[in-house]
Amino acid sequence: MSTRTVAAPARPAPLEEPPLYRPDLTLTQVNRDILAPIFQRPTKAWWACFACAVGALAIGAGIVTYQLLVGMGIIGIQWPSMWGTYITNFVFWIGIGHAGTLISAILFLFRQRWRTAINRSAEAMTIFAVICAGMFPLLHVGRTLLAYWLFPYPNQRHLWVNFRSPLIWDVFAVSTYATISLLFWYQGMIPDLATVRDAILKRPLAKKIYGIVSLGWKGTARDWHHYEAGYAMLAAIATPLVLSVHSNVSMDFATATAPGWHSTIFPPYFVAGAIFSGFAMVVTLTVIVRVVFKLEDYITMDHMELMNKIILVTSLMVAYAYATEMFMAWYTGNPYEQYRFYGIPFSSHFWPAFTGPTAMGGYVMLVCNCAVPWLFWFRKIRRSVPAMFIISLLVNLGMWFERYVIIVSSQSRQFLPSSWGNYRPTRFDYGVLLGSFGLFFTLFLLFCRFVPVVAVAEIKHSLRKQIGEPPASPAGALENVHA
Amino acid sequence: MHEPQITSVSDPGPAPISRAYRQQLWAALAIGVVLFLVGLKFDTGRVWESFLVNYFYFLVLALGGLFLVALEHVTSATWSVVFRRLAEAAASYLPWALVFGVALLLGVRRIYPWAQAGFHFDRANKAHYFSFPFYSERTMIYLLIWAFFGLFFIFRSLRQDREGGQINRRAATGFGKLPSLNGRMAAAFMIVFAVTFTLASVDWIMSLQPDWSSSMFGVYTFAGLFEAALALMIVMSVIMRRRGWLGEIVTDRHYVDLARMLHAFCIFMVYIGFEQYFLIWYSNFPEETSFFHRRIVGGWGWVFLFLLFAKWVFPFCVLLNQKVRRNENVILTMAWLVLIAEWFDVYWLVLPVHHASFVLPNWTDVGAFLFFFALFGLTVARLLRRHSTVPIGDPKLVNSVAGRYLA
Repeated sequence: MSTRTVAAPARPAPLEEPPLYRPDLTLTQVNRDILAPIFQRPTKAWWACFACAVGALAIGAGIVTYQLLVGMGIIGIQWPSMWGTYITNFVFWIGIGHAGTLISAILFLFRQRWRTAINRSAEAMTIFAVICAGMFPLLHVGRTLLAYWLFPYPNQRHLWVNFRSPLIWDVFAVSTYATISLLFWYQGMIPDLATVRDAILKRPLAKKIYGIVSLGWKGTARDWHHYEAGYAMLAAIATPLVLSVHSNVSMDFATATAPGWHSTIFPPYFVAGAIFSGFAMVVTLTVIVRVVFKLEDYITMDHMELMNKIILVTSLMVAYAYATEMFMAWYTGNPYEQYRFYGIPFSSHFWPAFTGPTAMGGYVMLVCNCAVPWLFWFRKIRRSVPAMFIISLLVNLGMWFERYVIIVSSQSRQFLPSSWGNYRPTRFDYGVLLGSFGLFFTLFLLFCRFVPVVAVAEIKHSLRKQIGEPPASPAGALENVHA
Repeated sequence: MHEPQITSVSDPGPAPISRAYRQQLWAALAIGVVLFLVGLKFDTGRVWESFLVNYFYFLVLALGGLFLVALEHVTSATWSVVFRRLAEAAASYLPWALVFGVALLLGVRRIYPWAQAGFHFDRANKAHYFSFPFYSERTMIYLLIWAFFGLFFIFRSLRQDREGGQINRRAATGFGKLPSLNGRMAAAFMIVFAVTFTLASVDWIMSLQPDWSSSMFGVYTFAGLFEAALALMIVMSVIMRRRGWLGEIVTDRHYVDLARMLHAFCIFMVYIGFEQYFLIWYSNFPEETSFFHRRIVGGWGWVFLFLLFAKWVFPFCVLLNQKVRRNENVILTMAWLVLIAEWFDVYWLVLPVHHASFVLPNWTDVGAFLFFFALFGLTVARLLRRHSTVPIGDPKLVNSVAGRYLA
């Protein structure tokens, strides 16, 4: 074994990682900046956004009430397209939620410390997106007040849910997901809620409430020890959930025998698509949040660029899945499958997704999901706020249409021409979708006012590291507990 | 985690692989050739199946190495720099894969039902797709692309050794910077690799059953590839470190990280495998279930079960425990298990096509295995014997050794 030490000029000095935060940032400054939205009176911009969100929510709530009174007929659901936009919205919102869990759990396990700037808001987004998603199957069952029948509870008539149906697996998958995400979000917030509690000087009631929700957090070594062990544990539990929930949702389609639905690649493809749309939503929200609440020092352009890279990567995965499906449809030579995926060049029929009733959706989906994100190959665009804002909106538009194409176009063409029928969304369909956005943004805006939108404790931890102060937590680093 | 600051590393130099060891490999190579020639005479069909199994298996290992190299470049990863030369050594086999890809084409008529006389596709498109000229062109294109990328990354890495880290320095300076040429090429490779490896899996494995298809199949073979590549890194580095060939560069912490990756991707493997099986089982289309039916009846089900346990149950349960995960022997055992399982995975994909009931690996498999193993081993040894066992010129190496990628 030779142990020659290499001469100095041939060995460049080890690389220094660029600092995550502005060099002159202090720990006090972090508290002041991040807690500011909680202590200041809401700005006019906030009130304007809140008014729009509540207005949209009110429209949605009005339509839902109307639907409960008069029945399902008001939306476009007609045989054979029995799923329509409600299930489209369900899949859309569930997908949005995935970025939060990815950031909070998977990036944590991969020691991506840049996640600290965005994990709080992404996790909040997950919770709110799951709330929006969960609403749609409940509305879609028609008799919403009997929706509790979805749970297998002992009853006098011995009626059981159909355990063999993927739709019932969804009930379990989504409710597990909601529970774990909520716990994860809440646990990560405890030290920050205590920070808010300690920062409150004048309002005893508010101090009391924050004291209760921070569970008496004192920041002692024992507190941190339990906190870090619990956090790592929840991250490990939440990671498989990222894969399982949307895999389960994909089975609503993939287990069916309808051509265009049954495809074995659906589970990982849906997961990639979910992360894709979820990150687009995170970018949309953080672009707004960092400007409105002046958090550019914490959610830096580097963070935005990394998220845009993830959007690009997941876009490529989605494109891979589209390409595979189209190739396999050609490869099998199954005329029903081909009818679903190709147009005139390959079969004598029309291609419903691209020439049929949902043609526009098919093109929107291809352009927004596969072509537009390629702009992120350019660094200038990855780091341009207006560009990323527009692209993130387009991605979500594309992902909504992807679900619409999968669900609506596959149902609208059954095997017999007599079983054909197009889905025509009514204004109530759109109204409910608008209402779900209203619900989402109402919750998000309230969240920004009552909880630190950036994880203060984690930022401080990274900052201590950067400025060379000993860590507050005895184990050293959150990221190291599981190493 | 409070270690002394490491600011420089000493070069462990090339691996002093003994002459005797190489002679053994040459002997194995010769035995393999002899057994193959004997097989051609006496058991032509079986010998080509063994050829395909072992060819594909070692190709997967080499491509896995290339994939790890590209992954490191595209993500500007620091933690894995200490292993990169080992992955590059595995990838240096790819030009040989190109050579023996040509040999594989000679056996096409013996292996694939669609290439045999009198076979008719029920649908016309496949008859065109699987015409012999088009098939061979595709095979050559995949292999040329992989060999090109393999050599590209290896040469640049060796040049970096000589030039003291001046090339590719940009990529290593963290996020927010322009990617280097390596980073760009790695991104291009990822895209090309996804397409070519999927198509290659279809051509070489899926088309063994011409009437069967599954859109998950490319992901399935990729999951096996990635799991095996991580296991290969563990096996190579543990063996080399025990002999002192890696100097002080690879530390326990790096093994723990590799073990965690193996743990994560054994879950990914079972996820992909299960979803494919489950969706086919649930929908119950006759043309789809034939794949699994063939691979479960007649004793093949035991191999299926073995794959489940060796690729997931054992690695998952064993590596779950933090203390166990730090034990080098345990990691090594799990890595060997995964490597063996990957071989049986390929075996299980290929053999049931012509054998309705389970057949044990026989002397033709031993011959083909010895041949490709020796070839792979000699190629790897050649690179590691002539160049430093770590990418000594990489500016990120010191940070990787010092664990500065930790938060």
